[in-house]
Amino acid sequence: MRRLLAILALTVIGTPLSAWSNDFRERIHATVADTNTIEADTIAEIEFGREVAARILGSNRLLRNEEFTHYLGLVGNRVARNAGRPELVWHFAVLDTSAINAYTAPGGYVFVTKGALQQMDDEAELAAVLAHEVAHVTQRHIVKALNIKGADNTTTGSLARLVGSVNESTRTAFNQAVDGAVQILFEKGLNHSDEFQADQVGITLLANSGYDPMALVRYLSRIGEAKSESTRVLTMTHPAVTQRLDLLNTLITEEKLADMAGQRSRTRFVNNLDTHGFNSNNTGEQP
Amino acid sequence: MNRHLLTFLIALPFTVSGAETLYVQSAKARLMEQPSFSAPVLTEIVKGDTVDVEQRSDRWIRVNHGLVSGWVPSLLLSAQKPVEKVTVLGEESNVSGTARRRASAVITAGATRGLTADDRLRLDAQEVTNYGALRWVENIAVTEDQIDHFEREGKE
Amino acid sequence: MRRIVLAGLVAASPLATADSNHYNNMLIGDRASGMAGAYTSISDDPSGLYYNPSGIVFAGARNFSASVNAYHVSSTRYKNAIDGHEWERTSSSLLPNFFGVIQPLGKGIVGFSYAVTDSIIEDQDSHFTATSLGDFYININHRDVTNKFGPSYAYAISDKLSIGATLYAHTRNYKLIVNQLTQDTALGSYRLVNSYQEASEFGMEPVVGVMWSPADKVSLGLSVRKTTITSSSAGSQTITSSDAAATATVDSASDDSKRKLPTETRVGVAYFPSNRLLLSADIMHYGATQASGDAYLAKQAVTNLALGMEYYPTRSWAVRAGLYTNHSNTPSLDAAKTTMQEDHIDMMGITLSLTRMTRTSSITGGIGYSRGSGEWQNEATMPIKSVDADSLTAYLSSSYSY
Repeated sequence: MRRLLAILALTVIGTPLSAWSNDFRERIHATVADTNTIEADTIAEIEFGREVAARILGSNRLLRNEEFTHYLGLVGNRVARNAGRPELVWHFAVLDTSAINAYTAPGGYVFVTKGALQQMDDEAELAAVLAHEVAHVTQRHIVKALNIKGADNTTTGSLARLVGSVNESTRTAFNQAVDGAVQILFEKGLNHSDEFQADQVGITLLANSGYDPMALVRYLSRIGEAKSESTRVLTMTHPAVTQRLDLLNTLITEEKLADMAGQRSRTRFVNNLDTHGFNSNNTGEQP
Repeated sequence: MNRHLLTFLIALPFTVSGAETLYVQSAKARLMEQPSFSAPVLTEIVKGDTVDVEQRSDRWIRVNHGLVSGWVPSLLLSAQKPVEKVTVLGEESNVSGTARRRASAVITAGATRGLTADDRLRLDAQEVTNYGALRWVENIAVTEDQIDHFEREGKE
Repeated sequence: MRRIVLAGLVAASPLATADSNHYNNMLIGDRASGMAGAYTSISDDPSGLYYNPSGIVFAGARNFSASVNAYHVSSTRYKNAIDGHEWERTSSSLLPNFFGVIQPLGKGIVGFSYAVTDSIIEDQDSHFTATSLGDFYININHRDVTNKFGPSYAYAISDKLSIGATLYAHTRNYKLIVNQLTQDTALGSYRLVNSYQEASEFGMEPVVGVMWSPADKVSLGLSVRKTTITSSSAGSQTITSSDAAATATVDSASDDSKRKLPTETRVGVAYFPSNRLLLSADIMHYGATQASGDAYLAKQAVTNLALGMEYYPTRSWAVRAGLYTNHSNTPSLDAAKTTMQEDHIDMMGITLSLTRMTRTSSITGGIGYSRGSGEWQNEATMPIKSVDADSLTAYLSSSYSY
């Protein structure tokens, strides 16, 4: 009997992770939304994202170079308009720090550090990093983790609150959610499967926008060897680079992405960096 | 529980699924001959176009648009019609903060769900947030035409 | 003057009427009630705090609350109670019978809930004329409410396996006041019995649960609970007066023995074939329990079954239906037995509810109806007669996520 229990226990605990997702529990009222709900949700997401973005900019100095930021916006939007969130207006900006990282706030705010830019070799690599961040927003990783939803002002919602006599302090809950998001970005990181998903989706976005999908692999390999202090926050909040590369390479082989001829636009990229005084540290590879 | 009810309950799951129509969410999407980015491109469709699902495989969906059947990355399609761009306007235009604003659904949503303008100013003062910098970022506009042009000239 | 004895009012001991014969009298929970309580392998919302706390980690929203307001009526009809007359006892109560709330805490989800698992409020008077013993009058005031409340915590071991626990405080309050008068005006004789009984108990009920998804769209759930009564007090006072005696007699009794409640094991399976349809089945087993003092008799093991279904014809509307059993924990009556035997009525029920949803809230209106028949006996060695019973619960509930 005891052996039977042991075998049962091992079977139960050993069930492979992510062979299927737990989404089968979600009922249709939660999965399919109507236009009004999408709009309410998006407003809630953008409102929330702005608070998070403002905090990111509070603790990291913004690099105020209009021309370069516009260039960044062109690269970012070129990738983002191939993502499945046509309702968002995307904003891209540079943070003036030597740390190597990129941040996203829900609602379409993406920040990349000067340190990261200086590690990049060509525009495709920049697009790759932005694509990974765009993927976090596309897949709603942060809002799902914190359960950000639009306010429910329908009759049913009001009646439900009346019948249930629930008292809520929305502002407190909201503030806590914002703190939660900041914590996720700077300390805890999203869970690893979210990061792997962002890599996966990111590389698809790259391919779809005409960029060379191998760029993400090249960039990750390079920063995997970078100085440890500048990648401190990155290492804390993301899974190990080797693990990410393994999964990416599997995907690339499956999708035969290496065969695809994508743009790298090295010249344009290097020109933009030099013109705006980024002093690229990279000696550069042959395009 | 009688047999008829049981039969009905068992048959129910199979009657629920039907032909699926999806909408293109991205600016453009290409139908590929094989589920691969390096496969030949059969045709290109744009945001808002509808396609009928024929087959699903991993990260690709085989769809039918008009007379053409091809593979599209599942990322680019969704059961919902693409929505117009949502903007959250009018929040920071009055920096003095305490002036009353025109009540609109957006601002009400913002006020009930988030920090009020007073809170924002206070947080800015404590250097926890920087809305000034955020506004600067939001003022850098990028248009569809500019992106199109940028994409075309993106050669080495 | 002979006594007229009616079921459940005089038993082996004045206090044995405080015993209870069924474990599944009240539908608990917002979504679960519509599905006949076949919820052990679903439990992914505040109602799950009662059935299987491990399920709450799989809730669609991390902050969630639900509450139910119910109107519960029941009726038991004892056939051939007095000289061929049927005697009916009815109870009705209006009460908030469930509330639950969950929110994240640390790496898991914490919750709090309360449930009213039994509520009887009976106020009635009956009058039987011209029986073989004259006129018979009886009035009853009977209240018996069982509450459970307490915190829960659940933790996801993986995205397919979770464990959880609830610690309920269990309280029960019982009160019965019966006045019975038999009189034969022609003979000039009468007998009046006034009886007052009350009992209250307090205990702890830990619930431990586990939830596992062995295959896509399938969920298995298991929960085990046992209530241990930590303190109990019961007392009664019976005053009898008749034309045969110059003074009334007063009989008092008290009993502090703690009722033994069974270990309850619930096993369930749920199948989610699409995002509109959900099917589930639960088996609930209650172990046999021993007698305690004079008030509480030994009880038999009971196995109940529940089947439930939820279907969304549209995104905003959901229909739930279910079937369940509510069997008696008393033995079947045996004509050969010489001691007093308790009623034995096995019940079966059906539930139906309609819900209006938005993405973050829902309102549900539902009903549950159960019916059963069985046997009873006025007094030891008297003929065994038939009895039937039914109960109806109508409820309005809501849930809200934020």
